[in-house]
Amino acid sequence: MKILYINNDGGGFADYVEVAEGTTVQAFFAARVPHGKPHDYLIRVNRQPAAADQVLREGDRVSFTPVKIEGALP
Amino acid sequence: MNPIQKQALRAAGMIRRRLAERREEPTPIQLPEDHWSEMQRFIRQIQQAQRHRWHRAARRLTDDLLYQIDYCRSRLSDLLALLRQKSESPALPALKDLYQEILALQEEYDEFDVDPKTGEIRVTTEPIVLQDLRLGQFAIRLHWKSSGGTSPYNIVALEPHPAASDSSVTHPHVQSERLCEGDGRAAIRTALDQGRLGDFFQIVTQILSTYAEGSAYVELDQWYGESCSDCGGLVDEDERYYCNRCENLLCGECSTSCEHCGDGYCSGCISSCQTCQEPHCSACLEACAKCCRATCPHCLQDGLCERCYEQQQQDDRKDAPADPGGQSPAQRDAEAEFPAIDQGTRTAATAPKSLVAV
Repeated sequence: MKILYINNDGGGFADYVEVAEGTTVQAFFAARVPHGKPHDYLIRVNRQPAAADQVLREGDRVSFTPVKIEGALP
Repeated sequence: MNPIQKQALRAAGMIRRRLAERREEPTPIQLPEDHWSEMQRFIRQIQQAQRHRWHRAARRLTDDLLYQIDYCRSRLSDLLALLRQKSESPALPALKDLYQEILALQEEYDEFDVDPKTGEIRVTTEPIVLQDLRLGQFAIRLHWKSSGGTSPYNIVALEPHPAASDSSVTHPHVQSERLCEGDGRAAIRTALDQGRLGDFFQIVTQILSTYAEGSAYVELDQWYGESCSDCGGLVDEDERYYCNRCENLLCGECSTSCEHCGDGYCSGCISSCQTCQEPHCSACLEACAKCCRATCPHCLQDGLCERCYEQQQQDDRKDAPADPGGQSPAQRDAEAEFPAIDQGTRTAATAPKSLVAV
């Protein structure tokens, strides 16, 4: 099945990706951000906060936004 | 459909049209040529400073060069991202998606407003606290009608607690309502170009909730003003002095000027002449060739401090042989000092003490 995956880390990225049926939010995060920790990100499914064991469904919109994003001088 | 939903739908349509217009606009390609010239100028100045062994000036110029390189790199990265986005040209977001993005803001933020007339969506953050410094709430105002050339949003402090040194800095990364996006710059641009309004507001909120030490307009430890390294008192921006040796910040009262060169120093870096006791920097003091006491140029004679010089003079007089006329060197000095006095009228009262002693 396909879901819309958005990663707001770095340059920002949004694309439709293929995931297996029954994939949970936790498993999807681990696959996409292997070196990241879930508590360092705001994780949303269909713009709502999601539980780690929530199972993804066809057409879901999943976004990961880092909790800490450093501003800087121009 | 309630009034908010109506406004959200209207705004979604306007934002979609605006996004479509922006894709038709020619891409502004501008290389950072001015900054490139500036970097070349800094390199020439650094080389000149190094030739003259002006180490401090060379260090400061190198810092300026690093800043320019970083700025240039950032501008080139922006240009790269812009050109890539244009070449990929993702599909316009659907009206339904934009509508849902706007409505979702209502659930995400306690205070939310959308105004199609002014072309503005406004959300209010939770109170921002960075390292125990309470900065209050901020309104993030997105103006979708603005052109692509300028930042399409601004950050307004609702309970301003600005930095003591600059009232336009209401947050370490906000000056004059402009956010320095730093690591979030590219993600913000991408989110706006793709109509992901929720992501845009979320990224900006996370930047406001993060303190990047060393990259702020005003660092948090200097928020209430910088303190004098000597007395610890807060120093106003226009009354700042820096020690010429250690470069610590000083207030006017704690900056001590060297009597010889006039440069200002902190209490730890200023010394004093051991003869006249006046403050002098270590560069202006020389060791007496005999007793090694630190002596200022004014008190130094023939490489000796005043005391050693006098001692040397006395020793010279004692050691020198009397001339054929029977006069000692001291007597000859006195002769030169009182030329108008006749030898026969010289008395103990008119003669210098040293002559009487001899």
